[in-house]
Amino acid sequence: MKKILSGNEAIARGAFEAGVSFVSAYPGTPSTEILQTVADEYPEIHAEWTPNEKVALEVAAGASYAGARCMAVMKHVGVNVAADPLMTLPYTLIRGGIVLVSADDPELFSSQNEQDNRHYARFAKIPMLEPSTSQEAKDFTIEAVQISEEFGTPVLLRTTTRISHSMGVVELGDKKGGRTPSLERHPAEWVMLPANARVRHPVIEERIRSLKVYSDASPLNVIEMGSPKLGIISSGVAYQYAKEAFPDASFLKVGLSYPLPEKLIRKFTAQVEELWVVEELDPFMEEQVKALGIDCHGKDRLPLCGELNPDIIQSAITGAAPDDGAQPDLPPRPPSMCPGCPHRGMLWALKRNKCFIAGDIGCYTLGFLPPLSAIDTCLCMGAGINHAHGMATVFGPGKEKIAAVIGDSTFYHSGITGLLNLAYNNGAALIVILDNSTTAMTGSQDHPGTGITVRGERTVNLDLENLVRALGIEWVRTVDPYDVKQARKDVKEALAFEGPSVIISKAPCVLLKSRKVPGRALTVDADVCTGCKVCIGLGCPAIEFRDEKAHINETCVGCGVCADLCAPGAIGGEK
Amino acid sequence: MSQGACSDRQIFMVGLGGQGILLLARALAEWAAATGREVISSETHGMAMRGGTVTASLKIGRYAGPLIPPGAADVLIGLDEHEALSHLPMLRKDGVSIVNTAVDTGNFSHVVDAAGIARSLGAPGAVNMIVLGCTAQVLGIDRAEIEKIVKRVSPAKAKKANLKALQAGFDALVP
Repeated sequence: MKKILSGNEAIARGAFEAGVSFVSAYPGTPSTEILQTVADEYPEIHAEWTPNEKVALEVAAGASYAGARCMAVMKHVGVNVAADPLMTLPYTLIRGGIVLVSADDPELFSSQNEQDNRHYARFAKIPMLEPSTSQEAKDFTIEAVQISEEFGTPVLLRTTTRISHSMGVVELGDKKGGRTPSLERHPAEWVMLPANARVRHPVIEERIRSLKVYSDASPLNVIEMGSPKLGIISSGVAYQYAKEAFPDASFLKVGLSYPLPEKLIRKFTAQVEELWVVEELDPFMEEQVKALGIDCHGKDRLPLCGELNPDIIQSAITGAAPDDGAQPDLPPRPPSMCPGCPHRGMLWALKRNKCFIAGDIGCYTLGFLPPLSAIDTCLCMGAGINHAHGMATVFGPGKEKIAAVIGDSTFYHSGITGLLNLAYNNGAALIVILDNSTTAMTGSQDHPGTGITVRGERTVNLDLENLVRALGIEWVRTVDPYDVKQARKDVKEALAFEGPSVIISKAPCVLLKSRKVPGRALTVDADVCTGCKVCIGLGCPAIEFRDEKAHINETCVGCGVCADLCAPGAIGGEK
Repeated sequence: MSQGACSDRQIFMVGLGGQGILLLARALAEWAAATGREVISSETHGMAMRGGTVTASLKIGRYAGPLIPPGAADVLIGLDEHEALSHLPMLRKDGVSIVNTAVDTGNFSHVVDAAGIARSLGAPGAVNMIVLGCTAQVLGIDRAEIEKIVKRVSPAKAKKANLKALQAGFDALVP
């Protein structure tokens, strides 16, 4: 049977067909739909959102030790969080196949960097597969489970945005049976203290040698001979672009891209006149090809930054200038916080208190855009609290108003330890947890604070205020961000407190059913509006400014924040 | 189905986050696959769509990669007029454009006031399905076939409204 599947849906299907029974993940574009699909389509597989990627990989490792096939799923930067277990996991004995899915984001569609996670395969010394279509995404997931069990190693399945979020026709197969869990003890292979790990390291090196032989023979690495004039080594979506740009060239299509098939590369090189390695981001394969003593083109002409496309590859190889075409002179439309977003009122309240606002990863990062211009830093998940503590400590008490904002999902991901540090080291920053009861940026996933699992089952009801107190924070207050005037006063009071303070800004995401806005648009009385632009300063996409007056368009959901701030009282309608 | 609907074709779609461009893209992809042809599509998700521009590409026939090069799209579908205009360079010279707009500025080969029709149907969220109906009509896609697909890909609670909108879209361009 054939079905149209996205790369992510195909990976979920592959896990099902491979007999995977345990999948863990933290949401992150472009990986999110993998676990979502597992949860929605394959009830026989245990699926869970974990608070972060380190937990996702570690619970998967536990499932593997118990004999189950498993998969941990994350976006590229999530693997950084999971890097600690990842670097030692290959030292340990793998029972059930374990696949780590890393969804990379060349071009930074929805990420803070565009790191090339193929390096992790080499770094951790584990095999890596790179699908280039939805069909391959499914097939390679199954292959990854097989390699994992055959060689006793975690396997990295690396996709990119264009694979994860592209759809193609996939031939579905049957489920190939699973594994029955059983309790075993392997202290020499599972207790990684120096004496044991020292013995395990040579096992990894020997395994990589065997995998090199396997890579040369694997059907995932194939020579497709066309014209011998141009030979292209490529993997992932770059292979498809190169194929589209040069349909008549010869290709070494690499599916198992670590360890590389060295003999096959030498064989291919001998058959072509001009050799190119075409890959997105870093010269990962190119440098290894050159280390074999083979001369080739690649990043001397192809860009290191951003994603590739057939035109870029065409002009790099032929040397012709790319045809950019005439672009119409229209303003771009950057993403922004939604009309009625509860974050807006709280960011405004912080700004009016003249705070430096250390930011974090989430929708509120978009508050950086003018006219709100409220976010001053954004580095990685959980960093904002720590930025604020570091800065506030350097300035000393009462000198500068240093605050941090962090979303609820991000707080559970990696904010708790930062807050603990703030309390432990007698810090004095104001931390605002923007609690909108969901992981909003990735499309509303549940998390430990929502009391709901990935399958919609009720679970523990976490008391955030109590959690914050338990970490050692004395000054905690839950605030309604739609009541902006009160929020501004609360921020002022929190800043005046000697010692660390936490405001929980609590209102559901405006895209949730539980939202606290009426959903009816407000209106501006043009006779009363003075054109003062205070409402414009909120950066709400529903408020426009025309003919020296504010106008509210139909995207307004009636949150009323602008009406509260309108001194002449020009904004009305049902709140 | 007309001959035109059977040839290889690259369709570029653009709109704003929340307008339902991905469902429109999915419906067209499912339709093309149901006719037995190869299909590759590509979409933007995540931060990229938070109220910002959302694009989707659909390549029907024998293509390798998921992206459509600028100036190569046979069809441009725009759920938002401004976005359609800024992505007009995606379209090849004699390509077909089907765009939701209240005012015909002469920039596109086919325009439809999908937002207005959606409002009159009491389904303001169904702009995507009205434009899909227009597209089906322009491309010569069989009415019953696309209906079947929309029935399948629509979320249960939107099914009725989507079908109504699709029909309205189908008839909107007929003078």
